[in-house]
Amino acid sequence: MGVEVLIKKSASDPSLILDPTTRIRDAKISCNERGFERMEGEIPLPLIQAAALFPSPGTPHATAGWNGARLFEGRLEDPALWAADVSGARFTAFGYQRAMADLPYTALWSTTDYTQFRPYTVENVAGATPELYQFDTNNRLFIGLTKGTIYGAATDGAYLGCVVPHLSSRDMIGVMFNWQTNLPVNWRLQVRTRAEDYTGAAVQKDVTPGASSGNFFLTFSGAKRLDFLLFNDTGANYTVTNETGFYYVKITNLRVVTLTTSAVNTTTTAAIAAGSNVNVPVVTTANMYVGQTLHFGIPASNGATAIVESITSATVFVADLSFAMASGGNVQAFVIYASDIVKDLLATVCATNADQLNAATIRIQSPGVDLFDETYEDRSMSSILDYLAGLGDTQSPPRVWEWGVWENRVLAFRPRGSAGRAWYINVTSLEIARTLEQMVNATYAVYKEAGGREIRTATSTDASSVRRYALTRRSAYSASTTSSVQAGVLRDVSLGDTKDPVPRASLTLDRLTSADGSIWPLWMLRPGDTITVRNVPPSIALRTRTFRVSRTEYSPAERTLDVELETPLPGLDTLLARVAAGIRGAI
Amino acid sequence: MATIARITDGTTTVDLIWHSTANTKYRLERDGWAPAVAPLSLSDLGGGGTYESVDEEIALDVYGTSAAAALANLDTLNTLLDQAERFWRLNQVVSPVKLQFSPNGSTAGPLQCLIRGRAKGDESAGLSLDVKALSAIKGFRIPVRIRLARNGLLLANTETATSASGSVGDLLTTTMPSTAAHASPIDAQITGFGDFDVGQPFPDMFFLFAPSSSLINIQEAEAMATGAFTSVADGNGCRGAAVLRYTPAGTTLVGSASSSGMTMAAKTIAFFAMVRNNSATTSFDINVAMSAGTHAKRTAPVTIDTSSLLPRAVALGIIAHDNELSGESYGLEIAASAASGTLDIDAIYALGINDETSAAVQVTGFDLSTGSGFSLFTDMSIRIASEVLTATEPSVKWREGTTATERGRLQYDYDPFLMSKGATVYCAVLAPGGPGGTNRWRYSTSAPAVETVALQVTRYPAYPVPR
Repeated sequence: MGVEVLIKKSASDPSLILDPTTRIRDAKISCNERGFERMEGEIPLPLIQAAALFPSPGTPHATAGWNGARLFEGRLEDPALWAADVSGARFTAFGYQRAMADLPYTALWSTTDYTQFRPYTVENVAGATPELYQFDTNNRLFIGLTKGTIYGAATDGAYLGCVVPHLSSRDMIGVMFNWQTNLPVNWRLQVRTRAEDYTGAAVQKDVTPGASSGNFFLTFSGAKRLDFLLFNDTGANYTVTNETGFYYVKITNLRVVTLTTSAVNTTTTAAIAAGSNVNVPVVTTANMYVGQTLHFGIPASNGATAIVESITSATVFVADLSFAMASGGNVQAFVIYASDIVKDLLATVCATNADQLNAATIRIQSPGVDLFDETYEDRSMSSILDYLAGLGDTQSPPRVWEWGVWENRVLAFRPRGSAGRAWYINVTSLEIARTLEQMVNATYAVYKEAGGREIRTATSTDASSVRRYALTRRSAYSASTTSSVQAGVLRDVSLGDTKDPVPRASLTLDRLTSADGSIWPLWMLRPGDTITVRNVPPSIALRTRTFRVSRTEYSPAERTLDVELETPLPGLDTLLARVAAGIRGAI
Repeated sequence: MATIARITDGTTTVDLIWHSTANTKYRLERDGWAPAVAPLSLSDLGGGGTYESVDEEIALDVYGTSAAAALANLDTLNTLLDQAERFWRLNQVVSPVKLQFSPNGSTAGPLQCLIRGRAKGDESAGLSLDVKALSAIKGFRIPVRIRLARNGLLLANTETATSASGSVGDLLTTTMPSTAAHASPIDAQITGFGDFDVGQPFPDMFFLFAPSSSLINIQEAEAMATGAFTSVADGNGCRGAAVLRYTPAGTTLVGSASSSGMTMAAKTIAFFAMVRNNSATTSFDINVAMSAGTHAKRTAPVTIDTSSLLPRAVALGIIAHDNELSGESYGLEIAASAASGTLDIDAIYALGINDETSAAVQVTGFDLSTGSGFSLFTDMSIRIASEVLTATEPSVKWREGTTATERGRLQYDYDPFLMSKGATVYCAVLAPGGPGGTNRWRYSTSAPAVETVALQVTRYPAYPVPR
C-alpha cells in the first residue's frame, strides 16, 4: 500500500483524469508554513493522454494520499507537455494556500485617521460652502466659524466627510467619537451618511443643539460616505462677530468601522456611582480589554467615556468614572479582530472561486487584539494574512500567529506552532552555530498619534536574555497604528520572537520518531512542528536542541525528506532525512 | 515440470525452449538467461505493489526452415516486444504481452508477469541482432539478444475464495484455499450492493483490508459516552442501534470516554469513522487521542464541515506506536465552531498497518441523475483489481448481475493495488446511504434494512524468484 498520486477534475468533482502513480518520475511534495505548498513531477505519457491535464474548463485537483491520510492536495496550475525522445507531461500543483493570491482585496475595516476627512464643495453637495469655514484635521476634526461672515439660514453648510476606498467590499456601519462645541444658539451639527456619489444623504444623529460635549456610539445601515455637517439652523442669516474660531466644533477619539460583530454592546446590571476604580457590573465583559475606551450611555441621548482599567470577571470591570449611571445603561465600543478580517477574506474567496477553499471557519481563531486602523487597497490577501499573523495576540508575552491551508482546503489562522507536533530524533550528523546577529532583547514600538506625529512606547526588556548574554541589543519596531495598546502588543511580539538567538543548524537523521520512540511516516513531519535532537548535550543553551521546521520536501520515489529549519545555515538550506533502502518509511 | 520460457499475448506465442517437434523456431542459448530477482521497492509510491520491476537480458537463436522463415519468426518475436511497449507505455488497445517461465522441476506451474517493453535505458527496440546474424542466416539461424523490462513478481495460477455474507459495516472474512508465501496481488470484489437506480446518489465509501481480524478493530462509538458525549438511539441503520452524540457547550476541545482496548500486531494505526454533522452552521474538528502509557498521541484534527447533514465515512488520521498494540485504548476529541448543533458518531474503525497487506481504499461517490442513457442496474458489486496481468494500473470498477458485467470505472482515492499473504483476507465496508435513503448510516436496501455483502478475493500467488 503506497502513496497514491491522483489528478481529478476539480476539488468538487472527483472525476479521475489521471492516475499517474506508477509512471510518475521525480515527484516532489513540499509543505511550507502556509500549508501544502507544491507537488510536481514528470509523467511519461503519449501526448494525447498528457493533453488530459489541460481540461477546459477547469483547474484539476491533485492529491497524494496514504491509507486515508493526506500528503498533499492542491490545484494543477502549470501542466506542460514535452515531446522529444519520449513524450509526456510535467505538472506542478500548488496547495490551496494559492487561493489567497488570486484576488486583490480592497476594504476599510476600521480607521481613526482624521486626515481621511476633507471638506465637501458645492460641486459635491448643494449648499456646501467650505470657503466660509475654517477646517482642521490635525489630530482632530475641527470646524470653525469665521469672523464677519454672514451664514445663510440652512444654506451655507460645512461638510467634513470621509469615504471608503473605491470599490471597497465593506461599507461603514458604525462610528464612535467624542464631541465638543461652542456654537451660537440653534446651530446644528449632524452626522450623516450618503452614497459614494454624495446622493442619498441620511441623518444618523443630530448632535446639536443641546449639550456642548459628549460621546456617541452610532450604528447605521451600510454607507460609503460619512460626514459631519454644521449649519445655521436659526431660521435667519447669522453674522459672526467674534473672532475666527471662537465658534467651533471639535471631534476627537473618532473611530469608524465596517463591522459590529465583535463590538462590546452590553448594559450595566446595577446602578454605578462616579469615582475612581469603580467596579462596573455588566451583562458580559466579552471583547473588553484593559486600556479600551468604552462609551457609556449617560445620558441615553448622548454619552460619556471611560477607560477599562482591569477586568475582574466575566461580568465586572473596573474604570474611573466621572459620572453616575443607572442600571441598564449602555456600555459599548467597537472592536475589530484579525479573525473578523480573515473570515471575510475566506468568504470573499469562496464567493468568487467556490472550488478553492472550504467555507468552514472553525480553524480561524481570534488573537483578541483590537485593530484600529485597517484599510486595504488592492492588497494581496496572502500579504494581508501575513501582516495579520505578525500582529500577535493578547497573551503575555504575545505569540506570533500563522495561517495556512491543509487538509480539506480548510483555512487556519492560529498561534504559530499551536497545531504542531513535537518530534524527538537522534541525528547522525550535526552542525550548530549560534549567532547574535538577529538577537534583540529590548524593544520599543514607534507608532503614530492621530495627527500623524510619530511617538514611541516605553522600552520592553527581557531581563533574563540580558543577563544570559551580558548584552543589551535594543531596536525600534515600526507599528502602523495609532493605538498605544496595539503598539505595545506588537512591541512584545517582536521582543518575544527575538530575545533568544535562533541557532543555525544542519543535521541528518535516519527516521522520524515521537517522544516514546515510535516510528512515524517521514512525510508526517510538517512545517510548524518542532524536532528535538536527543543526542546533543542538554547543557547547550535554549533553542539549540529544538528547532522549528519551516519547510519540508518529500520525494516519495526516493523516500527522502528535505527539511528547512526556522533559520537555515547560509547556503545550506536543508537537512536530509533518508530512510535506509529497503525499509518502507511509512510503516 | 519441464522448463517453460515463452513470450505470449495469448494468441501469438514465442516459445524460447527448443523442442524437436513442438518448437523448432526459437532456442534459448545455453546459459543465455538468468531470471532477475525482484527487489523490494525503494519507492513509497503505490499503484504497483511493493516489488520493483526488473530488466531481463536473454540471448537466443531464431530458426526457420528457410532464411525467409527465420526472418518471419524474428519478426514475430519483435512484434510481440513492440506490442508489449505499445500496451504499457503508449496505452494502446493491444493485448498485453506476458513472460511465462517455469524452471525444470518446478511445482508451482508456469509463472507469468507482464512485459513492459524495452529495458530502462535501452535505445534499441528491445531486440538486437548479434553481429553474426547476417552470416548465420545462411544456416537459417539468427542469433539475437532481448533486453526487456517486466513486472517484478512472478505470478502463479490464481486462487479464489468468497466470504460469508455480512452486514455493511461488519467484518467480512475470506479464507483462501492456501497460504501465500509472499505478499501477492489480489482482486477484491464486494458483492451484494443490490439494485442501483438512476438518480440514486452513490456515497463515498471506505474499504478497509487486513490479513487478520485483529487488525481491523471496530468500536461502537456510543460506548464512549461521558459528559457532553451521550448515547442516543438512532433508527437509521447504525451499528448497535445508538450513536455517540457530542453536544458542544463551548468551542474548546472536549474528550470522550475511552474505547475498549486494542490488541493488534501493528505499530501504525489508521482511524476511520462514520460521522454525521447535524448542524447547518456549526463545524466540528475531530481527532483521535490514543493512550500510550503516560502520554497521549493524537491524529491531526479533521474538519467535519456543514456541507452535508448526512452520515459520511471519514478518515481520522494516523498514529504510530512504539510497539505492537497490547490493550491500548483511545478516545475522541472534538472542538466545535460554536456552542450549538451536534455531531454524531456511529462507529470507529482502527486499521492496523504492519505491511502492504493492510490497506484503505476510498471509492468516491457519484450521482447518475445528471447522466443520460442509464437505467436500473441490478445486483451491483464493486471490484478493486490489481490488474496485474491485464493493465498498467489498478482499477476500481462496478459490475452488474451475477455474471459481473463490467459497468465502468469508479472514482477512487488511495492505493487500490491490494496485496495479501497468509490464509485470510478481512474487509470492512464503511458505506452510508443506499436505496434505503441517504440518511442511512449503513448502505441499506429500500426496505430499508442494512445491506448484506460478501467479499470475493482472487489472489495471484507471487514469487520474487522462480519457483
